[in-house]
Amino acid sequence: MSKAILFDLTKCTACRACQVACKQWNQHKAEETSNWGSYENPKELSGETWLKMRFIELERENKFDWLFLRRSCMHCEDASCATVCPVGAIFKTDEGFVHIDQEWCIGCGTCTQACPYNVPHIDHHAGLAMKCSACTSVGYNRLADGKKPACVTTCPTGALEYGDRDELVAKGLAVVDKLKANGKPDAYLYGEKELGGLHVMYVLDDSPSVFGIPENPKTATVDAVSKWLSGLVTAGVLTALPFWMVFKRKQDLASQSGKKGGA
Amino acid sequence: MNIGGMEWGVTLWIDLWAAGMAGGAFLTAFLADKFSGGKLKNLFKLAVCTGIILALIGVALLLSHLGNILWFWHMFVTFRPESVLSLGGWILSGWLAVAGVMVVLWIASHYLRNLKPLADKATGILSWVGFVLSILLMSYTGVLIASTTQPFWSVTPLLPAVFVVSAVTSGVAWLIVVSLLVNWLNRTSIRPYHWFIEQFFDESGWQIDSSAISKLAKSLIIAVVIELIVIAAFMIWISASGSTAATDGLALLTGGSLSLWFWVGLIAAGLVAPFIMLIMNWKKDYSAGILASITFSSAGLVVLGGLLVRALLLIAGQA
Amino acid sequence: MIIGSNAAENHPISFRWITKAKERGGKLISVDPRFTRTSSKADIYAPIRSGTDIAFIGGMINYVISDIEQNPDNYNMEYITQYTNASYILNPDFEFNDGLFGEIEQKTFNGSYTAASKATWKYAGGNSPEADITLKDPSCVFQMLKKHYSRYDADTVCRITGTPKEDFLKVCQAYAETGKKDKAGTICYAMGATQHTYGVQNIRGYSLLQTLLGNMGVAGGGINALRGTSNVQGSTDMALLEHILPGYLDAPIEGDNDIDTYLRRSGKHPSATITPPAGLAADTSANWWQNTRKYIVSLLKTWYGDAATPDNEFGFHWLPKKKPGVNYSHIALIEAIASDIIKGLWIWGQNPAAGGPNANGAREAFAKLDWMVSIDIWENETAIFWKRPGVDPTTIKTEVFMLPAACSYEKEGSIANSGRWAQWRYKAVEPNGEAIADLEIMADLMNRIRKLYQDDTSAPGREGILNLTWDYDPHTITADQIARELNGYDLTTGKLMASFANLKDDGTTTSGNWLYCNSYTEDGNKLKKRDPVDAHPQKIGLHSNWAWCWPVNRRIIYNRAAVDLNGNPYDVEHPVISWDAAGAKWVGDVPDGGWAPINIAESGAKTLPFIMKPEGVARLWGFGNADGPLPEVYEPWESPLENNLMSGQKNNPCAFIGKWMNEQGTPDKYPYVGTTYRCTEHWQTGIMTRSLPWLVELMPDMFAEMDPELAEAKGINNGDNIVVSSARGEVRAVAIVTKRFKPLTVDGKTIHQIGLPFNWGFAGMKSGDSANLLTPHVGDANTTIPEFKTFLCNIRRAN
Repeated sequence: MSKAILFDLTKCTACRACQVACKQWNQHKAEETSNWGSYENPKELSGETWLKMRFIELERENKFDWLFLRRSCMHCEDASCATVCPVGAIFKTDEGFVHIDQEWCIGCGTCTQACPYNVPHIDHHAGLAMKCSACTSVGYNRLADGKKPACVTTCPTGALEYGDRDELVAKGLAVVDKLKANGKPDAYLYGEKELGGLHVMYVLDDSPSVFGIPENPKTATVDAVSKWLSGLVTAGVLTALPFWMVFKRKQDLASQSGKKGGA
Repeated sequence: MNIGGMEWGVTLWIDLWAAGMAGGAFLTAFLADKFSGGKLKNLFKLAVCTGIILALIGVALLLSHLGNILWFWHMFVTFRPESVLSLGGWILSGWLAVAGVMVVLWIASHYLRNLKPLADKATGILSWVGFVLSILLMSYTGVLIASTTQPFWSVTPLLPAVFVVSAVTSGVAWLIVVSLLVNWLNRTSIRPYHWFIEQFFDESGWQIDSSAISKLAKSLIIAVVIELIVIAAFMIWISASGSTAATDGLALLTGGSLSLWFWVGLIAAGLVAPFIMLIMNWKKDYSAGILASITFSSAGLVVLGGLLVRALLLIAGQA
Repeated sequence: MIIGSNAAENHPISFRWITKAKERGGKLISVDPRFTRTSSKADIYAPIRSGTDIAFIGGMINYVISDIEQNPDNYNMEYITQYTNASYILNPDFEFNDGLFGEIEQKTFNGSYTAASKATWKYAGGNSPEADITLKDPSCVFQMLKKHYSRYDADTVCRITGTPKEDFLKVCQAYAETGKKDKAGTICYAMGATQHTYGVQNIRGYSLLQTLLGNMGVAGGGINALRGTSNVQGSTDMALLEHILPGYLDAPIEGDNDIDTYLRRSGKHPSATITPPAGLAADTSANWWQNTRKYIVSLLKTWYGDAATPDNEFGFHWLPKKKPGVNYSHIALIEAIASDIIKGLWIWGQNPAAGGPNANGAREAFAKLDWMVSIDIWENETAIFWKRPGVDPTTIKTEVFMLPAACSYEKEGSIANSGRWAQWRYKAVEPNGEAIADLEIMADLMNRIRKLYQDDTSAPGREGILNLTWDYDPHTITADQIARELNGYDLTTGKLMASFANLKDDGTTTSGNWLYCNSYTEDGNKLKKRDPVDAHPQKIGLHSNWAWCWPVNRRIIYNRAAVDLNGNPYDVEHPVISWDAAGAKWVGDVPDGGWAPINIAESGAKTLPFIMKPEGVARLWGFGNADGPLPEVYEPWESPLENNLMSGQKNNPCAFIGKWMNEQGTPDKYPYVGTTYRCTEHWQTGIMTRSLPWLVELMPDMFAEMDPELAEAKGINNGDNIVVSSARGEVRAVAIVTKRFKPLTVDGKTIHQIGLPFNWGFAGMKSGDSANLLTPHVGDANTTIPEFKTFLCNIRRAN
């Protein structure tokens, strides 16, 4: 049964109870932070910070707005991280959430480079890649207990919901329609179709680029064929060229001179 | 999105450089030997032996880079062709196995003469396998870096081409350096070196003749030109890509904090200066007298340039 | 409308319900000096200069009054004429001149209007007023109101507040729509409204507006005071304040020689009833406070038990009496310490050294104490005032004791929320170390104090202390026992009282708090109820079986104002109560008085809805406040303007201005308007939260927010370390330069505002400077609540 988390930006007040609930449930340490001129902290996700809220100040059509966007694993249906993992440590749970097996990951860091959203990070204590597991982490599995992820449970305004993906898609689209009818023509349900469908979707009141998230994101391995080709062709053709030119010619000359009878 | 710490740092730069150079050296020596009708076996042996050392350095660094080194063996119970790193692990291991077996066969046939014909046949087949693996070895590092979502690396398909060309130039240059070194060592009376050669190889066949070195030098000149062209093509493609993240990375190299390393270190010292130094002496014997030093220095610069190009591209992509 | 509040940040759970309202089409208005997380969810945002809410609301009142005259069908005229004092005729001697409501001795500060002036604020007929139902008589409240607020036109208001006129009008238009019978609006406010020298008048203004719009007593209406902490409601209910006894009875003052005098003096006597004027449909004012005798006697019987008898005024004489005219509030307390009047201090779950105004003043004052006892969960700035940075402890002679207290999860009890719901709370874990519950500390203290009195036959007030009933043992005392005591007992049967309606003044009943009588009956402790089902017939969201609220679980007070004279709801889709003619009873919420509807009831029983008021109607015009019958614009004590643009009276003449270390800043040295507030991530002065790593991770450092133009002029970049200063102190902070603050144009001048959270202090795991080092030692005219929200300041880059 495909599940998902729906984040409705129009309801989020950035109280950040979700951020703390995630830390508390997973027993992660707090990071040393300092105020860098924003309410936002920590500055980026890490092995110990799996979820954070972004504070975005916008000026749109002469109207000032302050919007808050969740930043955490998007749980892609076509998960680049899972594809590039050399040991196959990343897999999809029955619900469709992407889980890094902490007993198998070797900490090579490839998934951290392959994610279109830059989500997994190597934890500096464990040395392994870590990210939101939608509360399916071994020993901390809320879904197995019939509970909702910690962030969803704690959200006071209902900006976060958890349930069947189909239902949440329908719900999200309905909210988007309502927004479009009320002065937000670019409202968009992000994650409905991206990367095969994301299991964490956002109801946005504007186009994704306004919030700095990629429109039409591609998987890391989308151009794998052309990339292999560029390497192989270059190796096969271009690099053989100088050797063919330098070593073969002389040989021809040598054989020619040999034919001429060693003059 | 380009936020994130530099997960791929020094250990990876050296690892990618060493692995590429090993493949490049093997490829160079293999082709040189084949195109000269099989007359450059010494060069080939030198390439394989020194290549093994480079490849082992590469492996050691790759392992040290892992967050959990003890679990490295997970890579060898997994084969996932969709993962470039998984493929790469097998390619590198395969290459090491092939090179290793060839070295064992050479040593064996040194002691057991009647093994020689069989060994030669086997190494002949293995050298073709190694040739294919070398191409894959040189390519996979580039494909690995390009199969990410860092726009600077992934927005064009040319990154693997740059890595391959650089692997070739540094491979050729490496061979020049170790050839000159071996020839020089042969003239010295350093006992451990000579003892080592006597124990495991046919001593007389360990000299690399000057025409081979000169040809390597000439090949290097052409290869450097090709590398400059490919790098230029890569940069042009990025500028036209429309991705600000990618062009930002490029700007770091051309005009930003990395520009000195890029223009002076890589382009000038690592490519153009060696090119000039070598091409000025086109007709001459590259391994003779003072020219040998020039050749050695030029090749040395290219070798270092190979490390620099990988370091710079990795830094620029993670900025 | 959320004004003077940042509910999304500081009352995040309340925002769950506001979000649901929005989902169903509700519109949110946010009025705030700064664009907050609340404003980000609002349909309309209006910026405002801190300290000018009173002008803003006055402007809204003016807008509504003229709209009522032009479009009366858009308003509930029956409500206005029948349920408010709009039609009442006022004393013709009343004079309003240039900002003053009569004669006053001291015009600048700490003044009080003469008794003669205050008398002119009342109705012409005294306790038997007349009325003009047509609302045309120039002396009727409606016309006096109109005249007063005619000066609050939109241009003038916006000149004062700095709000762009189109934003101001948007707010007025949107909010005035709630005047319709089937529409309601609620005003949510918090410290942003109260913490001014005219804070009470700010709230009066909201109340006035809501009354004109017919929003009082209806579903979705009312004034929602979002209390400053989770149990302030409980603390005021139980009278942890100097001016009241439990259940909002008055604290007695010297001169209250007996209960009767006390009741007359405090206005809670049957003689205070104001009879409804002829012309109104109703003829009875319940004047519920006239029952106070039963409540005070039952309270005295609770406290003094058998020692309280009809012969000794039930022990009334043993109650401590305040001196008339003396201020016993917080600011005055600090001043008394500074003046060596108070030598010893119990600081119980409080932190004035960081949370009170003029923090430097408080810290210096504490050094004058002989001893201090701090009872708290953690060591706070007050407990360690003597070793704060920059101070040599050897120079301070105060002996400080620390009694560690258990926190709320480590003990059982109840808290009361902004909706008057009292909810039971259970103990989850054992307290750490030596910490014990406040209740046990109190019981232990009481027993020891009583022993001291027992042994010292010459101790003053000994009789009263020894006659107190206090049978509790600190090792066995429970909140359950107290809860029952608060509800009260029928002494003749020994059973718990069912309701305050049954309390008597003959000494046969007890109740520790008449409002809580009905909370713990023979059926059990109602504070423990947890049924989430909304049992109201039209499901308007009362959830009456979740916990219990006072009075008698009536969820919306004054709900008889939600029905017309025949008992039919004004809003048919969202009725609170409705009259079931067949059964001759009310259905829905607990009716605020079970009397039949006005038109249906018999003569002499036609009862008005606002039963706690002597006249039974809502007061558009009031006469109970010290500083006037109507809210009027004054400037804050520290104002960027030289003059009040509304009148010649610059400041509230009755505001309390302290003397202790209370330098007043002027705009030449301190050109910017400063304000203080909180953030979601920390709690109050941060004593509980700045030692919790996950919260410190979210909000690590003290910061100050300002607009980009001001920052540029001062050479300050976002994230720079800066110093904010006022005439009273300096604070180091990280600068957050943001467009959420915009410079405002006030009377043609550009005004910049700077905001600081007061969540930091020098104690705790993660420290920072206290914003209250900047705030002034001045307070509201009625309650002396400090003017934390507006003062003058300056900023500069730190070196």
